Amino acid sequence: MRAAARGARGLASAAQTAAKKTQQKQSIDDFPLIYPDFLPSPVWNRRSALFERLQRADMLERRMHIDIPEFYVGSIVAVTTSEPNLATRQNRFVGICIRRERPGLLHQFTLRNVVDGLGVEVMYELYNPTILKIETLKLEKRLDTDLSYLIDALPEYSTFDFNLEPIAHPVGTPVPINDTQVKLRQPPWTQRWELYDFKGIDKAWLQATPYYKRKLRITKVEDYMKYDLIRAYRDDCQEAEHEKNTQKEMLEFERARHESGATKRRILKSAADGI
Amino acid sequence: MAHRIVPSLPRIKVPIGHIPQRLKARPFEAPQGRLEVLRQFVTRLVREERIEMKANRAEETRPYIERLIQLGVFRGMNDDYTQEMMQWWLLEKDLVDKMEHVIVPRFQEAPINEPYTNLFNLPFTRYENRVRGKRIHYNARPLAVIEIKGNPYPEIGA
Repeated sequence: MRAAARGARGLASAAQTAAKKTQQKQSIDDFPLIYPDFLPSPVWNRRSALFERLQRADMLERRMHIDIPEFYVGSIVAVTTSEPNLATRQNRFVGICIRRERPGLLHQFTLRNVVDGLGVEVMYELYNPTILKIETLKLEKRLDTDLSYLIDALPEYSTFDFNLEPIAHPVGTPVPINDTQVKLRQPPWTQRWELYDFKGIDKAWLQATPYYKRKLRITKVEDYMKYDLIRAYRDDCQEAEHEKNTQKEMLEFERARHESGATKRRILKSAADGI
Repeated sequence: MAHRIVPSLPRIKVPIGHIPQRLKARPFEAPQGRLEVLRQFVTRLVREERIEMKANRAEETRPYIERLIQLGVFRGMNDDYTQEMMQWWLLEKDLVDKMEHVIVPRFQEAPINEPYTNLFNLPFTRYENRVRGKRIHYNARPLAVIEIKGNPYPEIGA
C-alpha cells in the first residue's frame, strides 16, 4: 500500500520535471555558430530550398543515432572512427579543431595534433557514418574562426594529450574565449599570414621579411572589406527566418521521435543557454 | 577570420546579384573603389531620400541601404556594430542622427516581408556626362530612381 503510494508520487514528480523541460526556450540566438552545417551554401547559385530540405532530413536522422556535441574552432575534440583493418576495430584521434567548412551533409571539420614530433591534421566529415563517437574534451573558442596558421606556429601550440580527460562545461555559462596569441616560426610560411587580420597571431607583420611587404598599398590595406555588408550577407549565410524555421523543424523532429519511443536523444542544444 | 554576427538579421527583401558588379568612378581606384562609390550613393540617398542614377548602380545600392536600415531596426542604434557601420557608410555625420530619429523609427513597425526602398526604371536617356570647355561629352544609359519609402515627395506612378 505504502510502496504503491510512494511509487505514484515518484511518477508524478517525474512527469512534472518532464513538463518543465519541454517549456524550453524555443530558439537559440547562437544557432549559426553552433550549427553551421544547417546554414545555406555560401555560393549564391548553389542555394536550393529542396536540396537543403532533403539534406536536413538526412542530417537530423543521423543526429538521432549519434550524439554530435557542440564544439567550435579552438575546442579540443576526440573522434572515434571504425577501422576494419585494426585489431580493435576502432581508431581514436584527439586534436584541436582548426576549421569547419561546407554546408549540409558535406560539413567537415579538421583536427590538428602533434604526434611524435610530427604535426598531423585529420579532416572528418561530420555526417560520415563510420564515425562512432565525437566527444568535446574541452569546449572553448579562440580569437579566430580559422586556425590554419597553427601549421606555421611553434609545436607547443598544437600539442594535446591523447588521454586528456573531458573537462565539463558548466551548463548555462557562456563558452570561454581562449585569447592566446600564437608565436609563429621563422618566415617563410606556408601562407602569407601577415596579410590577413588574424587576431590570434602574435606580431606576424613584424616578423615578415621586407620582400613580402613591398606592395603594402595593395596587399595590406584591406580593412574596407569588413564594411562590405552584402559580401558579409552572401558569405555568412545568415537569415533569421531560415534559422527560426530550421529550429522549429528540429524540435518537431525530436518530438515525433520521442513520442514513437525510439530514443530520448535531443538535437537542439546550447551549452551557453543551458538547454 | 570573419566572425558571424549573432543574432541574425532577416533576409534582405530585394534581389541581389550573385556576384558584385564592378563600379568605376574616376577618383577611386579598384578594388575598394566599388565600396567608395556605393558609400557616396548611400550617403546621398539618406540625405535626399529619392535619387536618380544609372540603373545598374541603383540596383547595387539598394541592398546596401536595406541592410543599413535593418541594422538600425533590428540591432538598434546603440549597438557597437550598427554604429561602426553607420559611421563608415554615412559620410556626413548628421545623417547618422537622421537615421536614428527619422528613418529607423519610420520602419520600426513596418511589415517584415516588404523592402524599405523602391526602385523605378526610367527609359534609356542621353545625358551630358562631362563638359570640358566647349566640348560636351554625352552618355546614353538606362536610368533608375531609388527612393526610401515614406519620403515626403509626391508618389511616383500615382
